[in-house]
Parts: sequence; C-alpha cells; structure tokens
Amino acid sequence: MALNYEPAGERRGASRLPLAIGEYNKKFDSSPLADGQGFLQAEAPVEIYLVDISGYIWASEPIASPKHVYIIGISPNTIRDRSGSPWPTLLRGPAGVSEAFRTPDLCIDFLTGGMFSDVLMFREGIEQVGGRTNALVCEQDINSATTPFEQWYDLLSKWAVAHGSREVHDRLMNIWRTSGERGAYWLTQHLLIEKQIDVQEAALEALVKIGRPAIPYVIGSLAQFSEMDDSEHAALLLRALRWFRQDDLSAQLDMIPRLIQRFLQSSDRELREAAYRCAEILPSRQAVDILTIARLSEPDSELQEVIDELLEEADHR
Amino acid sequence: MWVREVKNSWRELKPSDPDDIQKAIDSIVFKGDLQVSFYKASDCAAVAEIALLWGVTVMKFPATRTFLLLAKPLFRDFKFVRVKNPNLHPYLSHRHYEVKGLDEKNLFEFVRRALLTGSVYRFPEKSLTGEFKRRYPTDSEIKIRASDYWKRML
Repeated sequence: MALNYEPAGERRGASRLPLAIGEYNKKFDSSPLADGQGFLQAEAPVEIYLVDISGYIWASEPIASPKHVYIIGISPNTIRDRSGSPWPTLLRGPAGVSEAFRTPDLCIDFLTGGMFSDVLMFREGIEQVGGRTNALVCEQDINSATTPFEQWYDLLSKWAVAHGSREVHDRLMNIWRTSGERGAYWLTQHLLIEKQIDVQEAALEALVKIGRPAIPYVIGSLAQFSEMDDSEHAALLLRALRWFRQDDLSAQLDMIPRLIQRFLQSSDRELREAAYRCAEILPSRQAVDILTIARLSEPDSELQEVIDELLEEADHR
Repeated sequence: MWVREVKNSWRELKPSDPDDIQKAIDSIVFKGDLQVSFYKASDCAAVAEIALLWGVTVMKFPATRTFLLLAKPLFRDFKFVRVKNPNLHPYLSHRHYEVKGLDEKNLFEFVRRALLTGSVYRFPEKSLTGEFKRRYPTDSEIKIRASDYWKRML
C-alpha cells in the first residue's frame, strides 16, 4: 500500500501538520520548525499508532504488513481530562472517533485538526475540544521495542556527545518540554543512572525544560538519597532544582530547605556546593539561615568563599 | 596540551584499579562509542580560554567545571585528528580533536595513562560567571551562544 499525502492543512487552507522531528526522519519534510510546518511524504506500508507523548498507546490499526511504524504523539497540553490530568488513561469515544483510526488519512486529519475541529472528542471522563493539535511524528522500526522516550533520549545523547546543532538541540528540548509528567518520570530515572558527562548535562537541561511536572520527581528522588548514596547524581538533581523557574517551584518551596540540609554535611565537595547554590531559590531569610549554619562547618576555603558570596547575594535580595 | 571536561570525581580515580579506569571510561565515552574528544591548547592561557568558552558556550548551566590536562608528548602514540565542528565557538572548533583508532584495549590504556599522568584543573563557577559578565558585552560569539540560564547571571 502506498501512501502519498498532500500537506493536509494546505489542502484545506488551514495549518499543516507541525512536525517536531526533522533530520533523523528521512521520510518527512525536514523543513525547519521555525515556521512549525512540515508534511508527510510516506511511501512505505505503515502501521499507525496513535499515542500520547508519554508513549501511552491509545489505538493502533494495522494498515498493511508494516515496515515502519509512525508514532504520532499528541502534546498533553492539548489533551486533558476533566481533572486537568495531562494525559487520558483510556481511549473511549463515539463511534466516529474509533473510525478515525481506521485509516491513516483520517488519523492525519485528526491530528491536523481538520476532521474533528471544535467537537467533543472523548466521552466518559475524557473530553477534548478539537482544534489545532500539537503533534509529533517520528519513524520507528517495527522490530524496535523502544519507547518514544528511549528514542528521544538516544537522540539527545547523540546530540550531546557530538555537540550537535542548535536547531536539533531546540527541537529535542521542545520535545522533552512537552513530555509532561511521564517524560519527567522517565527522564529522572535515566538521569539517575547516566554516567557520561555530556549526556548528563543534556538530560539535566531537558529535565529543567520540562519544568513544573518534573519538580515532584526531582524532589522525590532527592528525598530518597541517603548520605551513602552516590553524590554525583544527587548533585545533578540539586542543580536541576536550582534552575527551575521560580513560579514552577512555588508549590514545593517549603520542602526544599530540608532537602538542602540533607546534603550540607556530605563528604563530597561538589555535592555540598550544589546544595549551597540551591539555596538561591529559597526566600532570602531561609537561605541566610541555612548558609550561615553551613558556613560554620564548611572546611574548604573555596566553598567558604562560595557561601560568603551567596550570603551577600541573599542579603541584597 | 590536550584538554577536556571531566567529572570532579576524576581525581579520586586510581590508575591502578581497573574498576576506576572503567568508571573513567564510562564518564567520557558514550556507550561503547570509542570516541573521545579533546581540545588542543598551546599554553596555560589557551587552557583557560578553552575552559571558559566550553563552560559558557557549550554548557547551558553555570557551574564549577573540572578539566583534564594531558601532556602531548605522553600521548604521541595515540592518533589525535582535528575535527572542526561548526556548531562550536570558532575558537573551540579550530582546536577540536578526536582520538582515532581506539579499540577497547587501547582505550583502556589511554584512560589509564590519562589517570596516571593527567592533571586536573578546576574552573570555579564564580570565575566562569565573572569572565562571562566581562566578555558578554563585547563578544558577539558568546552573546549568540550563551544559554538563557547564563543570561540570567547578567
């Protein structure tokens, strides 16, 4: 079966399908994301899987003997259930919806917002008003058992090690930014076992980009560290905490002083520095309290200077 | 000299301990990729410049960075090949080298020797931030390449 898609949006005079994966997806238009556009040019037999961005498969319909799987991820920002949860747990819907997944045409139409614009997409607790949907399309070998997260992490790792282009960096960060809680959970778990220094740094950035959904996982992981655990990964998580947006942190801010205090007596100077610097995110008075106590027991002159500098900054906030 | 960033824990690793050598390999080599990059520095000033530009234009977050310095004469039997990378700051791109021809055995020997003979140089966050603030207004390459996290320090 040959598929030959026209840019669906163009056909309707509406927006075309925005593709967020470019150069490693040779079957798709690799036009840059600057204008957010791209279009399908598939010719191989395909199987369409409709998944949310966290990898949850909503529906799949085999089209033919597949050589490739096109995974179509929908940003959780555009799909929410009534409680505001960022992903639906089950696909239920009117007959017309399941019909939509029978053919690639309808599936793509769904993603481009052409078919179901402004109608209720899901019933039984999962509602979605149609319209423009942020979609990610990537190609995956049918024999590969990897999840989208594994793919994205692999791409991120390769980018980091090769010091790849800014365009690819921005695309990858955009993918992770919209990966929601599941992405945050997955990424935190992988950051905790990552050993390669460049990949650690890229994963750290991706985690920070995810923002608010990642914060509970970072805090939860830090809370599980004991003094005996590996200080390298604890320091990485403290560094992540430091760079989240202040607004995103506000709900959990009262948990952070205790977390920081756990690491002030560590024998690892890198971990102690990360803990001191993390105090930057606290309200001035709390930061001063923690840093003043830390200053009394800090044996390293370089870190004493760091604390003094942070105390001075806290005083001026 | 050959220069590259390593983990702060590098200096605690022992060249006599195979497990430590493996830890060092895992920290700089990507999953059996057998590819290691370095930057070539002719003197201490060049080391400092590489460390600064690496920390500010490649790394997205301000942090204290640790660099490994290898004396060139001690690694003559390894093949360092210049591989320019247009994604890097031109100063770094021009000095970017990869060690070619590594297999598992000689990678192990390379890293063992790096642990044995290399020296470690720390670039504190405060120094990096200070240099960043000083250079940012006039250095267009730094301006273009610094992340938003760096720009928060201005």
